[in-house]
Amino acid sequence: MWRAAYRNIVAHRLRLALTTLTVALGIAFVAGTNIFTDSLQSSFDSLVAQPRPDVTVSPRTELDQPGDGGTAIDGSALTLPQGLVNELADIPAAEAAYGRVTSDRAYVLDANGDILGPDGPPARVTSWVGIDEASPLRITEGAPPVGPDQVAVLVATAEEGGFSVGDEISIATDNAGVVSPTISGLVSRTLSGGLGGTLVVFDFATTQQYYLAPDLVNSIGVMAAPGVSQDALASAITGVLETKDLGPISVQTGQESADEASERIEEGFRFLNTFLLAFGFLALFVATFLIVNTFTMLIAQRTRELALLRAIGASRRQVFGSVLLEAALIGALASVIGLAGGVLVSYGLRALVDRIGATLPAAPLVIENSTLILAAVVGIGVTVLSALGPAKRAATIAPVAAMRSDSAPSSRSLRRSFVIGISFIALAIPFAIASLNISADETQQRAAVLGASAVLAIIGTVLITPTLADLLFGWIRGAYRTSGVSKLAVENARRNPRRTSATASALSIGLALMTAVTVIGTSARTSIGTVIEQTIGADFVITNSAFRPLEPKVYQSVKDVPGADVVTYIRTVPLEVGEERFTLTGVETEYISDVIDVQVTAGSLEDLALGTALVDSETATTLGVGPGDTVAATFVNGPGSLRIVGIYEPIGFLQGFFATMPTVMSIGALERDTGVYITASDESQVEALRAELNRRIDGIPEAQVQDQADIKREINQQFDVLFIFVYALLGLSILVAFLGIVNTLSLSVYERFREIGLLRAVGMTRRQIRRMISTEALWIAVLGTLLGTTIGLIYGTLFQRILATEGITYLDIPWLQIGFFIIAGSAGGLVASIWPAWRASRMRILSAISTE
Amino acid sequence: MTEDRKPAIAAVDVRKVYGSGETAVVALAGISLDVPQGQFAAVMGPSGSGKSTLMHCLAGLDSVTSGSIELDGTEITELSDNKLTQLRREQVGFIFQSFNLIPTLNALENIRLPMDIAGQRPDQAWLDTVIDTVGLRDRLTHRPSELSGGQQQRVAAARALASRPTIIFADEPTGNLDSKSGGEVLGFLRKSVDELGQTIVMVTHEAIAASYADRVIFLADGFLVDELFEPTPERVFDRMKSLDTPGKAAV
Repeated sequence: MWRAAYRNIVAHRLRLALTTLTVALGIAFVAGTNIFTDSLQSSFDSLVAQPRPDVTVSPRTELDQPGDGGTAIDGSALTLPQGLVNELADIPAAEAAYGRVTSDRAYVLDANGDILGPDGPPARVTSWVGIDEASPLRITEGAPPVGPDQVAVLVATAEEGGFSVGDEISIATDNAGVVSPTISGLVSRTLSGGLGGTLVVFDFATTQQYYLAPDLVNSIGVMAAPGVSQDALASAITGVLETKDLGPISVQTGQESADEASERIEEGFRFLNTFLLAFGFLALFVATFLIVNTFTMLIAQRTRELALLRAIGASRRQVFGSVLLEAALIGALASVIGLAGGVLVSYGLRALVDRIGATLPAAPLVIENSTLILAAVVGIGVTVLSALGPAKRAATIAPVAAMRSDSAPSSRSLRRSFVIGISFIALAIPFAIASLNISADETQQRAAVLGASAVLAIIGTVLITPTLADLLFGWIRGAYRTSGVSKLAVENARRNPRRTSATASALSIGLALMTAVTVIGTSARTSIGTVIEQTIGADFVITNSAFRPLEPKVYQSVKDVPGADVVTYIRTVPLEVGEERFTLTGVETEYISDVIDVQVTAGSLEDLALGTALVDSETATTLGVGPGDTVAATFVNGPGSLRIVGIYEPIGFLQGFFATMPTVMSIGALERDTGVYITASDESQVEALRAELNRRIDGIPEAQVQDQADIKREINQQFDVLFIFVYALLGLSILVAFLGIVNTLSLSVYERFREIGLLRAVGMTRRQIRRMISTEALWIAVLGTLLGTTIGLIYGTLFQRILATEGITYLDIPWLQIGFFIIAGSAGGLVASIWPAWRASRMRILSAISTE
Repeated sequence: MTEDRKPAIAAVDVRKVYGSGETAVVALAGISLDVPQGQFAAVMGPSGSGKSTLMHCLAGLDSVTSGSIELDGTEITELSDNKLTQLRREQVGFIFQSFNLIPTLNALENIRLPMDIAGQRPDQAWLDTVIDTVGLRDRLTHRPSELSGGQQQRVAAARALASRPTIIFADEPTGNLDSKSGGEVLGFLRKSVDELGQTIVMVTHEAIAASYADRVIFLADGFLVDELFEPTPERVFDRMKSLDTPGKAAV
């Protein structure tokens, strides 16, 4: 039987090649995902293992937990007195201590004065430490920076900007405007690559002068004296700090921060890994349809051969075993090819993740044993499981089948699968209804129930597709008056409804997801756009292009701009009520309603005073508060309370608490503006106002002036990037589905070679044969595409209903795009038919018609 | 050969060699043959005599190594695949031993198939005549799987006749049939020649089948070795016996 299985693979290698490729594609994605995340993991492991001070002392806010590792809400703005550095250096357990100043507003400018690199990643600056054991930074070329005219630049930053040692470089500072020091050296991190964004390094005094204030540091690093453990040093430091009143301070050992970093990274990667794997398994799931198809067809073609084996004495088990063995061998081969492909996929994923804005460190290629095992288990497992049904049928072939001349596939009734399929769909409906009826607060639960409904509906649809195919194609067939090429094509699509529908289903699953994602995404985009239209009354908004707060100088430089009616700003600060975090927005109450349309339903913005706030109706419900109530909260600077004096309707992102600027400042907000809003006094002079605003913020590279359209465009761009990401991932399963069409068609062309020969003999041209096969592919693709987009539309709409409470208020179905999916999906079917059609048209008439 | 009738097909010194050099196999060793219009010719010969190859070459299904074949005055040996396809569609009808019909089409659709492929409207009166001649009026909506073997071959014959081809090639049309059904099909072919003036070339190895023809052509080892007009089964059988190498006797 070994020999029989092996011989079969060799004999049918061309036909099995596509099946192998299909499985290999799925494996490649699964393996590639693992290789990608393992590789990143290893580079982050080296990040965790990088040199760091034995103890880091950093200030924190009341909202940061002691274990948060000094990542304060705005860590760069929190300070310690510089005098503390020497005090800590003097304790016996310490060998040395140094102050550090850091900021992420050190924008490096290119020749045009624009910020270097993409907007997202921070523009970091740090003071030079000079202790190798405490810092991952190393000078690779030149020398460390000394004095206000020298700066060291991260190698990656220098490469990006085309800088080299000795060049002048323009860097934005907080306190001295744009400075142009000389590059004294290039630095690298001890780990390979960077974390994205730019990094420049000044000496300590210069960093302090440019980005902080005299006698202040952002954090203090302490190195232990010989023989002193990190923990001992930490407790000694805590002892010193307890004698002072410096507010909340985090004291963290090097080990603690390393552990914490690795934990955080692992968490992040577990999610990414799961997310990506889901797409890989989707592709494999789609592939199972095609494997089942392939084996069913191969066995139908081999009926006589298998029957002969049975006739000469092979047992059912042996026939069953030989088919499974064949499947296992194919699975093994696919796993090997898939692993190799996985390496390519890992690079592809990297490029894709880079594309959505996360800049990843360069990572060595890591292929863990677990990846190898996973590839083998999944590859062989999926193939063998898919072949199980066909193998069972092969085992039931009676020995007498060897004597029959025709090996017509048994046409089993479609009724059973139709009934089961309808039951699944019937079951999906109450799930969908239930999901809509669950309390609006439980979005996750609602989504889970609706997700279950979607899975039921998809399985149900897959099961009833053969019946649908039979009915639909039967109906279309009836519409043709003559049995030319087109009618024959429909007939062919209809003659084996199971096979046709398995091929179509593979396509419809991918398209259903694609359509649903598109409906949800487009609705989200429209919803946000609508919120922007409804809420932003200002003609212009100035924000930080790097999604960070603005320096107050922005407001200062535009507040008296001519041609403006109102210029105002808002500041946001986090606060906690119980365990939940909310946003408090500070506004200038006399101007805010001119620039933001807040629908106040109780109280008024003008009546806000120190210590009082408005809250949106949803948050009010969540917290169980109303006007007149006092909410106890933890602010950045400690516990306190807010008295609620009014309620407004939340719209999209406009939610949380509203308070006056003095209230916000009293609870520890920094002098940083979230946005500056400007309305023009004369609508006809808007463009002049824009020009003037741009002129005034010319020296502040991170600030950008936007009107409503600009904001919407920016949001659209972000959505586009997300769409591309998801489409690229879903594209895999759709590619597998198209390969399935190629596979099914080439197998059925082979199966019908005598029929094609006959058609050629009675006068069908090669071109007509090609058209016949292509039309069949087109019908299969149309069926899959229509079913897929229909399910996608239904569930996309239902998910929008559920996410309405999360801000996706408006349903926007992108008909044009869905029309495009339908056309592209159908066209894909045509493309997939090219090769099988060509093979069919080249079939030798004589070999087809001559009797064996 | 009747001189006053134009030949439907005329072959001159047709050679067909498979392979080359030492391994070359000569299937047709230079055959010249005319079949006049309205004649029912049977081609007989032992296995390997080249009778099927001859038919394939005459029908434009296979290429020749040398020689010329004119079908209704058109030289077909140099035609492109498209031209040959068109020629088959318009001037040639086929009846094969088995697998003659498209399983997804019913009897009527199968009969009309060559015209539907060509996008031509069939001549309804002629179609009716053909259908009535083969006696399939009540079976037209049946699919091939619902027809008996003899009925299937009659549908195939009707298809071959329906487009009024210059010539019909029948390759062992009764090979898979019992003698009664075979007789029906052969009787019908005979009738189409007598009543409709059809030209037919039939390859067979059955003496009884050959006896329905006007003329029997005997092939052996790629040569045209003998001819017989007005055949009877006995005469054909005798001729075959003399041609056949021992142990290869056709049944």
